[in-house]
Amino acid sequence: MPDFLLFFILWVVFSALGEWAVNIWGSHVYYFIASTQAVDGVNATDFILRVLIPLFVFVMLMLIFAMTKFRRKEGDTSSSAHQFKTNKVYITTWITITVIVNFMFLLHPTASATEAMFNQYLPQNNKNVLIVDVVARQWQWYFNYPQYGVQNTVDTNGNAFLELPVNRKVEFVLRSYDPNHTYDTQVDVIHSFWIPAFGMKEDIIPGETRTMYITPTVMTNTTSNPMLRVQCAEVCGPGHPYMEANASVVSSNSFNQWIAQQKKNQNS
Amino acid sequence: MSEMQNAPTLQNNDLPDLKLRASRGGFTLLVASQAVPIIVLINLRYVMAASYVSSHVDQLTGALISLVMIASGLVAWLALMNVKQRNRSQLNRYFWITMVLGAIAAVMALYQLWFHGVNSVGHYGETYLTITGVLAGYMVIGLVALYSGKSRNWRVGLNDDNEFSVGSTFKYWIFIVLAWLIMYLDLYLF
Amino acid sequence: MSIGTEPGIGYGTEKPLVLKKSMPPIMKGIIWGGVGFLLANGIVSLLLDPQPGHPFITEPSVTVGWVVLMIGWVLGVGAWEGAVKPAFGRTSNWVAAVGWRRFFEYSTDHKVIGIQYLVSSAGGFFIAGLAAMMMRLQLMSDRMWLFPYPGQYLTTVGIHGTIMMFSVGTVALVGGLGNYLIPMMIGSNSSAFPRMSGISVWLVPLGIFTVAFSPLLGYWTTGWRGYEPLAQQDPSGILFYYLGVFALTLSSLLVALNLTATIVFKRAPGLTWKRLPMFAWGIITVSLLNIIWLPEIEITFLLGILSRIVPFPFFTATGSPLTYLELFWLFGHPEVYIVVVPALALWQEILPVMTRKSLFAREFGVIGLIFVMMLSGLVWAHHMFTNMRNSEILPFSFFTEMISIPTAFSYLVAIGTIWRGKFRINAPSLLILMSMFNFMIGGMTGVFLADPVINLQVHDTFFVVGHFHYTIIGGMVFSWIAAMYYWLPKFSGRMYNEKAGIIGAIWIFIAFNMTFGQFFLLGLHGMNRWVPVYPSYLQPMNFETSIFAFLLGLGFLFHLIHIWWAMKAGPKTEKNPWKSKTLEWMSSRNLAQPNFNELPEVVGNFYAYENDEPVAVIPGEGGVEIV
Repeated sequence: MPDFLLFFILWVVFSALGEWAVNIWGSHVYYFIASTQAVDGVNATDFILRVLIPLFVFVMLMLIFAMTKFRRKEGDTSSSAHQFKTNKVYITTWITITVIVNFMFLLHPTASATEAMFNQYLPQNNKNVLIVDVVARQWQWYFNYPQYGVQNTVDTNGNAFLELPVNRKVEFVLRSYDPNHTYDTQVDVIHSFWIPAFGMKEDIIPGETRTMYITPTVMTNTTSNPMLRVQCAEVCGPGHPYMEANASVVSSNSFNQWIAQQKKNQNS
Repeated sequence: MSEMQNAPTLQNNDLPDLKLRASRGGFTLLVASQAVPIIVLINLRYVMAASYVSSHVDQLTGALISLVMIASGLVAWLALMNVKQRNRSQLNRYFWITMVLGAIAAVMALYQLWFHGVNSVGHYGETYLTITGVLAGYMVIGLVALYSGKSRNWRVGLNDDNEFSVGSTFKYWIFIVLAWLIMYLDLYLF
Repeated sequence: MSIGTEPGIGYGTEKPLVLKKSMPPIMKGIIWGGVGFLLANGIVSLLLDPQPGHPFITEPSVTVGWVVLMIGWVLGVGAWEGAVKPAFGRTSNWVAAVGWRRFFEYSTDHKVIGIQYLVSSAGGFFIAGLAAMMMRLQLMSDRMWLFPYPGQYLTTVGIHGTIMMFSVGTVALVGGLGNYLIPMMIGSNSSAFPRMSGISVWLVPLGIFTVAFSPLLGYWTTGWRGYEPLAQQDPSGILFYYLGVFALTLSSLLVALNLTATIVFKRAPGLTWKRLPMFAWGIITVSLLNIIWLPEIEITFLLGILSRIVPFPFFTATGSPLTYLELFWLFGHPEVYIVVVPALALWQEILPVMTRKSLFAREFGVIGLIFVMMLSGLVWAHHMFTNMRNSEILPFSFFTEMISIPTAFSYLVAIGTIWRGKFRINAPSLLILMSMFNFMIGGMTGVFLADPVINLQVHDTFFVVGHFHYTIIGGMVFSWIAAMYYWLPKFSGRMYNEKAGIIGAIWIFIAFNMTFGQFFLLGLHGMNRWVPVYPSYLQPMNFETSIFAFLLGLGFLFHLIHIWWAMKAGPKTEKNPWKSKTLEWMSSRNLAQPNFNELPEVVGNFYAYENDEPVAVIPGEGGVEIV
């Protein structure tokens, strides 16, 4: 069957080309990552891409075949000579493959990576974590380091600033309320705590406390790479686009110095 | 085309019995869609306030409304049983009794809404007021529907064309009675 | 002689106009609605609930006033004479208008209603499209420049999304094409409840205007989802969002009731379920979704309104903000299938005609639509991976991945039909292929989004925005335009210009993919949603994306003008230029006539091309066979 054979050859060739492209670019789909958690996300994306490429090529080739190989000649009004309403092999293969692919995705990366994320929450994995209390209000971030007795950390301009030591797990404790009007329980709204380079975000719900675990792996800061910034990702009113804060990941020595400086600022 | 040979065929899609089936089917879908908000509100009541019942709620009026609603529902059911007889004045009487009882219940529900003892910023209070208000709204719509049925019965009289739709105003009222009773159990007792 | 006309369906030429109307019905609707609003608003704000300073417009008063306005508008435009008076047993003076006037009043002719829906929907599409153009204009710079205040940008986002979803996505294929085509396709002269659709269509322009003019009450910033508790803090414009959506969803609900009953009970003799056209399957599945989920969102929005105007603390920090999110997405995810299911059915309707090849695996096409419908109510919380309990994530991830199986059945059917067919390349067939391409990308990016770990990164970014524009514009709007070209000879008896159609199709295809393809990259690069101001490193790509977005907008405008021109002045064409076998092509498009003088009897399969056996016969005309 020449149609079938041609299709098959083209499908193999283009799928191979696609896989080759994923091999080169697949690990860069997140542009820039700076945490172990983001690596999980990239790996999941990469895996799904690899599996989907042949399926994508299959459908795309068919659309191209429709416009070329199966195209009607000018002036031909007859019906196709190949009339069939079912094909057991094709349908069975199709359904088997879609079911298998979906269950595979469910096991890996969905369940496996989610399991890895849930493990971050286990107490035995959180012995030496740096706790950062994050408070979101319209439209501002507050960062507190309760283990060091430091509150509302700021940069030299006095803007809220998040600094983290490299390769140490961080527990972000997320709350949405107004620290200046704590008596008002109705004041704040849903925000979302997102640092793009860390590959994860968590919504902050008024009246609830959420946690998120991140292990930064790359030393950088907002000025040199704006993907490392604290960004509110859930619309929270007209100030939403301005609800950002600068951040940096530094060595543990620099972090200790910074904490000492913040303490000094606080006491002065 | 052998697969199609023994399939049932509809003779004419405007025959009276098919029109009746269409009306019946459409009415069932309408009631199904009207039941969706009730289901949402039942869920909301348990999400917001679990099974808590405020001690400030006016149990006596609630029970009285339920009794009046049951009475009106029974009359509506009786009327429904007798629609086929096409007795204009008898049906008119049923309409009036259902509507008067229904109106009494609706006014009492509005009274509950206006002079409630529950705290509207509590989670029981807010669900109580919302559900009572929604049901009062349903009752008003049901009363308008009953009035339209009554008017058609009185002015035009029943015929093959409108017998189902006039009768269905009673069915709709019975649906509202059931909705109220479910919500009564939900809000006042459990 | 006419069959299938019940009292009230006046086919214009049969009866002389016996009563001169006192004023144009639309004027009457505006006056009744306007006076009703002033009275109800005044009574509430001045007598029942006076507020400090005695403002004439308060939140409760405008809500009550709007409800009365809606009733007054619908009654004035013809429902009073045409439907309400007969319902109360009074004699109606209503006479169906003739000529162009019939489009500007209440009508019970499903063809007129379909056209009214299509025009209203297209109006909504271009109003909301204009909002999109303003958004893209603002996003060309990383600073505020077009809008002086971010609230204005966010209101524009909300108006764009709300009008697109509720007056175009939900309406164009169902209220528009469904009302026009379904009675013809199933061999009936009218829908089951013509008065219902006749009334419901007038809620669409009201809903569009309500949402479009919501800034009159103040800017609202929530987008089309109305997230709590932000919605309670927003200025009062959010009220018009709730009320406008109420009008639009009520309209779709009434259409769903009508079309379901039509398909179930008004089929021609011999039109069994096994022979039911694919588009009718699409409409009936989508209507069942509408019947379940539209009342759900209406009661949710009622809770939103009460939370504002009473106020109740349902969704505040002391209540449960997540309950609103759950209630919204319970409706919100079925909504996207409401948008796309009729489009999938359109592929299966048009492809066999254009390939001259029998529809492949029809039963799988039907099963796919039904299972998409059933699963769509189980996936809602994948919109909430960033805020729900961790323990609840996996089941929703599971169902979201599984729904791709029945959705893929549409591809199984389409590809089996294309294989070794004789594919005729023209505007509708090309647009269907493009729709399949776009929806494939939309669906595949959905697989990434279904994965929680990836979702936590790309949620709330332009990646998601790209994904759902691929499914909705790419899937539904492309199919809608394909359907407009395909049925243009049916609507008008004229043909479009093939070259212009194909150029337009390629134009929007390129502009669309260049716009929304870059959305994925922007999102991955850290561009979050709902921001008129963003970090400067994203500005170059946003700038060029905007250029393509403007080209896309112009492309849609080009199609609108082309289709309008073709309907008015295109070359006249034969009755069934595509040689399609479905029943609508043998019915009359003349508004003054019933669809079928004699009801056809279906004797064959609409999508079988292996022979030229007739699919339907008209008994009364001496057994005329229609091939």
